[in-house]
Amino acid sequence: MRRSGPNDGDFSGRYRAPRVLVPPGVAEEEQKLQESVLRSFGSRAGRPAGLERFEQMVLRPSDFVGDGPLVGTFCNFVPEEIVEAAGAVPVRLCTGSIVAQSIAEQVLPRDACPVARASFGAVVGGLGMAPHVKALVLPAACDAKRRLGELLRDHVPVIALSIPGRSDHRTELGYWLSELGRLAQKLAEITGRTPTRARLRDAIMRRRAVQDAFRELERARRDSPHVLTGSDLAMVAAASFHADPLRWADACGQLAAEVREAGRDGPLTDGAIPLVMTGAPLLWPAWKLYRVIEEVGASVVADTLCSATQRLYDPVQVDDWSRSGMMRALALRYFSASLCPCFVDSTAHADRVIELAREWQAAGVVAHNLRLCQLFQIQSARLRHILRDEGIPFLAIDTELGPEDVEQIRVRVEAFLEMVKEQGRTQ
Amino acid sequence: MITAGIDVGSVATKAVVLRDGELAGKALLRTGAEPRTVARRAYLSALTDAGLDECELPSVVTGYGRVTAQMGGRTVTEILSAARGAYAVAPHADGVIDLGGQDTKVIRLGPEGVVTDFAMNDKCAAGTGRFVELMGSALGTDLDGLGDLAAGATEAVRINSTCAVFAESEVVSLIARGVSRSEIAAGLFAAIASRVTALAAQVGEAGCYAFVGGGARSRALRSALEAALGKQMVVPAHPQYVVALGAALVASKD
Repeated sequence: MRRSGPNDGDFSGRYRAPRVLVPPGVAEEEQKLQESVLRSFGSRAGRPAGLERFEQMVLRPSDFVGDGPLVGTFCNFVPEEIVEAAGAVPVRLCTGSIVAQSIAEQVLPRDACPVARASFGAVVGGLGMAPHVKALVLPAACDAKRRLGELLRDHVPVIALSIPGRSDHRTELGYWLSELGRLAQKLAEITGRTPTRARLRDAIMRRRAVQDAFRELERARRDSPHVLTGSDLAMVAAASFHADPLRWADACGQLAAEVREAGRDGPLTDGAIPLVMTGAPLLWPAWKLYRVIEEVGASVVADTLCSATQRLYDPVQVDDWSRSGMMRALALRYFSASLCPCFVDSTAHADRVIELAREWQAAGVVAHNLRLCQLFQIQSARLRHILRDEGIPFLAIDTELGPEDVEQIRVRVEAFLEMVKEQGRTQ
Repeated sequence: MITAGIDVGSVATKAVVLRDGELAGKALLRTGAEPRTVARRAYLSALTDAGLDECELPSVVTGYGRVTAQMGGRTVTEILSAARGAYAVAPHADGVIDLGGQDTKVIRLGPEGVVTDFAMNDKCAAGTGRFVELMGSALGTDLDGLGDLAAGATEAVRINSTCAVFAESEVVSLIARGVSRSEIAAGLFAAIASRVTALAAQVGEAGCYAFVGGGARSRALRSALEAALGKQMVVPAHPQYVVALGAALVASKD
């Protein structure tokens, strides 16, 4: 495998310093953590059996991953179709694991974003799919990710993807397209396969199955939103990080059918209070907020999280099936559809949150603020005032990945539900 | 009708007995590590204080330890209880500031004392009773002692750290620099007031605040808050029992 030189636009390969001590037994510890989080959600009557396949995909990703060299990705900006057209299999490595996070502490300061720390720790600690990847694609979305690329370069080849500073496609699309062109070329250097027109088309068609299946699930949920909880939906999304797209789409189609059936035959509602979730990603297995919300009698019905709905919702829309036409469609899908505060202004984000709250008749909005993920935290202060003017109750939860503040979170969420009930927003 | 409310806080457990809407008995104990036992003991002493024999009144448990300490009855959060209690003792207040041991809350009330919004400190201790306790010990005194010190200050030193641990080091270095304890104490109250003001800004300014919780016993803290908010506050007769009172009111509505 070729290492790129210092001046080709990626992080310099001139120095290498890959020294990290991986404590013995971390893989087992990680497995235990994931299993215990899964158990903490317990079982409930009427839970669709189809969810079990997604749990397996999350717990044993290597059994469900596609064939071919693996390329690790981060964030929601990397067009998986381009990775596949280059003959590689994309696996998204973002994680909320506190086991991974503790490994990162050897290198990264404690005052770095918890997701950056955990994701870095998973790569250097060889957790999950990370030890099998031939290269990483790392969008420099935030400051932490920018530096992470340099550090990870010591362990595995990294293709750095620059993100435009704002999400205006009229001025920024040209630059983003050139970055994606460079990505295609870099991937070809690694895999020896150029993403040609035919390969891009095949990849787009394959991935379309994922988007179609997810849309189908969304339609089914709209008619009976109570059949799946917020954590169920998050499990479906988390499974898509690694699983082969066709196997995932097949499981998702079956789940959608099951949701429809349960909606037709079962009770109209289970009484859970519907909430919209926004803010920083709730990455598996750091799901305490989902758990608390469900334990106190509410459920997330819609979200703007890059770890959940935002990852799967938008289809790639190709008008022109030339290679450049497809690259343009991909550029727009992974650019305009994003709500990441690293380049989307907070008004556009607020618009979407309000739209979701109305569409899903949510009783309120909860913002997940991950400490040190400053863009979301800063945005949340403004969102609170915007939503108040719109008459939508809002709760911000400031937290980190670990379980230490579950009781503090419970008080806040419980008080929030007491408040919306008292205001008569739920029946 | 006679009901009871028990507020199991992180530092103190408070119990009240309410007879036809009037406070008939009360008790306060340190919570410690056995919230269930302490809640029961506080309930029994409040019964005695109300002149009642041991019996099982309709009761609601609230506060940080509500789930562990609940006696088979209902629980509500301390936010709802504080709102109910404050509305009962200060019906004209449309805002509540509750400064407790581990949490500080600002609650906005709508018509009939309905909670319309609330904000709490994030999980760090800045601006809470714990913060006051730590700073007091750094200055070799307690809440009342800090108040006396602050009363004698001509100027307040600015405390920049919002983290309790860092603020303690800051206090230690201020002492080392020869800044008077009075000025430091005044600075600490101003620092807490500024944290509370930030929470108040989140939920929107109220016309009149009721100040409750253990912190409300401190005249110095009240003055610092009034200065920071630019408003007079109402401090009820027994500010520490307002949350327990709210829980007893919830019990009487059941």
